[in-house]
This record gives sequence, structure tokens and C-alpha cells, in this order.
Amino acid sequence: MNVLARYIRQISKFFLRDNYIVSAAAGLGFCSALAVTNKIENSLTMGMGVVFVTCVSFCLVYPFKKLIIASGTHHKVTLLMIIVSVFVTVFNLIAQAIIPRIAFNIQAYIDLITTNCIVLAVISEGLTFEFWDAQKKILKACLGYSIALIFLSLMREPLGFGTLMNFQILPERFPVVVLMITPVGGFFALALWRFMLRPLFVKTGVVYQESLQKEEPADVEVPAKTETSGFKISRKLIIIIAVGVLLIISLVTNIKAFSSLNDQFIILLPIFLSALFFDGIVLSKLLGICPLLNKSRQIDAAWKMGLAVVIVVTLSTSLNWIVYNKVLIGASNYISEISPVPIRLEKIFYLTVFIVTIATFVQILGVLLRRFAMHVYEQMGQFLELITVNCIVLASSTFTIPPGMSFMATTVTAFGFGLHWLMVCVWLAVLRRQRLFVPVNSWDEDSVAILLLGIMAAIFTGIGTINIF
Amino acid sequence: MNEFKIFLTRVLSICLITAIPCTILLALYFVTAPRIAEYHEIKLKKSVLDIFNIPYHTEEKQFFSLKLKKVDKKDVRNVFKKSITVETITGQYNGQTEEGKKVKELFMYYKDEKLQGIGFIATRLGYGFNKAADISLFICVSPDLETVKGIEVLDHAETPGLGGRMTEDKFKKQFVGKKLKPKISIVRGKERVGSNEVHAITGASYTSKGIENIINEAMEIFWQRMEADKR
Repeated sequence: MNVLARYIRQISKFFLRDNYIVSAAAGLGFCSALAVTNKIENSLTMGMGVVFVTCVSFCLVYPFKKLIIASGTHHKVTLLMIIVSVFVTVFNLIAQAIIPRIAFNIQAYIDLITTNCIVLAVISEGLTFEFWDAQKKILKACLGYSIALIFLSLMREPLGFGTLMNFQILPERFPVVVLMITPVGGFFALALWRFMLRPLFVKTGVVYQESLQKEEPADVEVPAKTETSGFKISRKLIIIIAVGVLLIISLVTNIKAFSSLNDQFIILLPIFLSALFFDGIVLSKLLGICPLLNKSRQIDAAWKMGLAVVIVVTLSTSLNWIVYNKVLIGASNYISEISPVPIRLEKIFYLTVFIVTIATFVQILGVLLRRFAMHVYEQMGQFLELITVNCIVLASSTFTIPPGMSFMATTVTAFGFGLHWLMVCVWLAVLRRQRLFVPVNSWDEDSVAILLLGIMAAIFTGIGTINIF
Repeated sequence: MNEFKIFLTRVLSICLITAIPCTILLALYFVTAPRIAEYHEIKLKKSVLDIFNIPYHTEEKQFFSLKLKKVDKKDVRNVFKKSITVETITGQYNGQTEEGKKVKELFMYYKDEKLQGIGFIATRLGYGFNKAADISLFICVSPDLETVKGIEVLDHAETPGLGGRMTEDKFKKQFVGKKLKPKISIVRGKERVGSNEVHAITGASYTSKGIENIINEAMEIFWQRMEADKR
């Protein structure tokens, strides 16, 4: 009995301490963890993918470690992402060949392993260690991630579908909570797990019970900050956005006189609205959560990061559309005329090409800003560098371009996604600033933020089901 | 000059390092591409056969007290080839922007030299709850072009559990035998439904509405084309 208890303690210590999803405060890797876990088979596939991609790409990167460390942070991230994206495509192809049914369900999220924060964090951290030590660390982090995924889906699948691994385990009559398998349920399930495991963490010392006295000086500091710079900008922008929305609505109601323009609006406006509200990138697709949690601590930072995201997402997605449809498809048409075997380049290299385009674009934007608008660069520069790693930018390309949407639809969707991110980020920042209930430490604060996000998502899903048009 | 040199070495090193996995990727693509294509082909053919109620060979496997149905791929292909003729039509009708470009395929089912049914694929963007994704339906009508023989959802990106329930048999079976003229409508909250009415999916009014619109619009275009063919 004693031995068993010790084993359990050791195993749970191994997996739960420093687990990125359940116990860490940083919020890395939440995006995919929430999105794919409505079935156990999905989360198993996803976990396997992350382990495979991380280990193999680390093996490839390790020999070149001197060169990679020597080049700066931005180059390092870009290089790592390019290599990771190639291996993600490898895994994607294998999965599609062996387990096609599951792979096509979550293909969008397998693509997004590329921007999974855990993969990048673990690889770049591992470069400073010995090979086998680093490999051990990587395995630990990735297995911890997979286990957290399985935990989440263990809660969501029985409650949502009434099944487990596609076997019926609950009786048919049992009331099924549809909420659990919708994206909203992801937030609630994660917050629930975190609060359920909290006593354990406090006991083992993963979460430190900070004394309340420390919080008070921080409380006094923060309001002073927001009044000086952040709030004025935000009020102006709120007015501008509100006026813009009113303008759009009035345009739509009056525009029926011009039939051709009206046609465009009829197609594009629902796409924009659903990207902005009902099917947004954070609350329904569950992406871009890591920067959201970290940047929403201050309202000022939330506005700046949000604006940077809007600009980069819109422009890079339209650029990606051009590159994908003109360069990639054109090249593969040309190749298929010459070569005897059929090669579709856009099915093999699309991820890599997207990443390269985004990285180059962000780099060029940084250079341009530094040359022509130093003032803006000082304010936004650090956020620009971060954005390459952001899942939103890649996601708004991979969700819209390969299915073959038109140029305008793609751009409008990306713009909607960006605005949605800005909106949610600022909203969350404002909510957190209110301090509805005082969190004890940063871990608790993140859990509370996840719960708040869940409530927001529930609100938006509710609005989305009302038939407006 | 020195900066330029550093930049060049970086770009070259990135290219060199990524060249290794890229070759692996290319090789893997040649191995897996046929299998992926096969999966899509079998999926389409199977749903076509299912709708027309044509029997094909299936194996049942016992696996941990679990019944697994496995489809005999060769048989599916043979049966498909024998009983269904595929007509490809390059759309020239109306010159509509995106519809016109796509090649349309008509699946005709002949049994004993008699036309039993016609099916076609209708793919539309922005009709479901998820406005940025396609819904792809396989619609199949009997020779009088009015009665539905069956409907299959080939591709969608709706929320699982709400709009995603349109792939369930319970919803799809309702369509069988309904009249499409003047138009089919999906109704809510009625106990009895008429000859061109179908129960909606609970909690997914957007998706139901979208399916209704897709079917009606696709049938309009289909009828126009059939009349143009007759002349």
C-alpha cells in the first residue's frame, strides 16, 4: 500500500509539476488544448503529434545549435518555426494516410502545432542543455501536455456526447450537456480542472499562497497608471469604433439602391460579422489565448498589442492569399506539366510558405517602422516581434486560404478576426482591472481569467444562435 | 558589407537546414498521396451508393467485443462502375462568377436500362453557422426531378453537437420522399409535417436555414440546366 502511494505520488509529481497546461501560470499551449479536446481520440492524436514533432525537430536542430544561438531572437524563432512547420506537415500526411477520419476532423489544429507555444519554448530552452537531458525535458513537457489533453477530454466527452472512445457509457436517457462539447465548454472544463486540483497544488507547493499584504501596494499603483495614458486613447477609440459600426449599419440599410454594391455587402457583411462576433478566433476557435492572457494584465498593453495584431493579421493574410494562389498554385501547375508524377506543391509546402511570408512581412514592417516612424516603433516594436509566434496570424491564413475562399472574403475574415482579438483582449483587461474577486497569486488570476473568457464565449454563442438576418 | 554577409549566411543556413526535412517530406508525399486520394474517392462513392440503396460488400470484424464495419474497397469501385454513370458538365449556364468555373458532375443511376435517379454535389460558402467554411451536400432526386431520394452531408465545419448533428441519420432520413417543388422548407415546433416540410435540428436554426437555402438554390440551378438540356 505504501509503495503504491509513493508510486502515485511520484508519477503525479512528474506529470503535474511544471505541467504547462494545468499548473503553469504562463498560459502556454492553451489554444490547441481547448480546441481539440471534445473527443478523446482527437486529443490522443494531438498529443502524439506534439511529441513526434517536438522530438524529431529537436534532433534536427541540435547539431546546428551554435549557429542558431548566435543569430538573434527573431531569426531563431523564424528558423525554428520553419523547421517545425515541415515536420508538422510530415505528421499531417502520416495521420491522413493512417487515420483519415480523425485527421480530417482536427486537421486545422494539427496545422497549428507549428505555432504551439510549448513546442517552440521547449526546443529553444533545450538548446542550452546536453542532448539527452534536453530530450528528457522535451518528453516530459510534451507528455504532460498530452496528459492534460486527455484529462480535459475525459471530462468533456462523457458529459457532452455520453460516450468514451466512441463507446456509449452513459445511458441514452441521460441528459447530455451540449455546452461541454462546444468551445465554451473548453474554458469551463479547464477552469474546473484547475480549481479542482488547486488544493493539491497548494499542498505540494506548486502554487504558492502569497500573503495578502503584498497585493495592496500593487493595488494602489495600478489605477494611477491607467489614468495617465491608457484610458484616454481607449475612450477615443471606443467612440470611433462605435461610430464606424453605426455607419456600417446605416450603409447596409440604405445601400439597396446600388444593386452591385449591395450584392457584395450581402456576401461580405455576414462573413465579417460572424468573424467578429459569433465565430471569433478566440471565443469560438479558441486560438491566440496565450498572448491574450499575458497581455490583458494592463489595459494599455492590451490596446497596443490588439492594434498590432489587427494590422499584421489583415495585411499578412492578404499577402498570403496572393502568394498561395499566384505563386504556389502557379508553380505546381507548371511543374505538373513537365514532370510525369503529379506534385501539388500547395498541399506539401503551404505551412512553410505561410510562415516564411509572415516572418518576412513582420521583419519588413519592423524595418519600415524604425525608419519612418520611430515613435510608433518604440511603442509597438516589442509586440511586433512577438506576433510571428502568434497562432492567430497563421490560423487566419490556414482556416481561410486552402479551402479556396476569394480574396475579399479572406481579407474581410482576417480583419474580423483581428478586431475580435482586440475586442476580447481589451474587454478581458477591463474586467480584470475591476478585480471582482481578489486573486491571491498569478496562477489564480489566470484561472479566473479563463473562467471569465468562458462566460464571454457563452454570451457570444448565445447571441450567435439568435437569427438576425 | 559585413552586415550583408551575415544576412546572406543566415539565409543560406536556413535554406540548407530546411532542405533535409523537405526531401523527407517530398518522399512521404509520394507515399501517402494515393492513399489520401483513395480515402476521398471511397467516401464519395460509398455515400452515392448508400443513397441509391445499392448493396455492396461489407466485412464485419470482431474487435474487443466491438463490431467494426469494414468496406471492401474493390467491391465499392466495381459496383459504382457498373451501375452509375458520371456525366461531367462544364458550366456555361448564366455565366455566374464562381459557379460557372467549377466542373459539375452528375451521377446517374441506371438499373435495367432505366433511369432510377440523378444526384449531384452542391457546395456553398457561408450558409451555415460558420460563415467562413463550405457546406457540401450530395443531393439526389428521382427521375421526375421533384422527389428527394436522399441527402448526404459530405463536408461541413459546424459546431459538433449542435449544427454538426446534421450528419446524423435521424435528420437525413427525413428528406426521403419529400417534394422539392415549389420549395422545401425546414420547420420548427410543428408536430406533423407536410409533403415538403422537414423538422429542423434543435438548437441550430442557422444550420437548418442554411441547408434549406442550399437545397432550394441548387435545385433552381439544376432545373434550369435540365430544361436547357431538353431543348
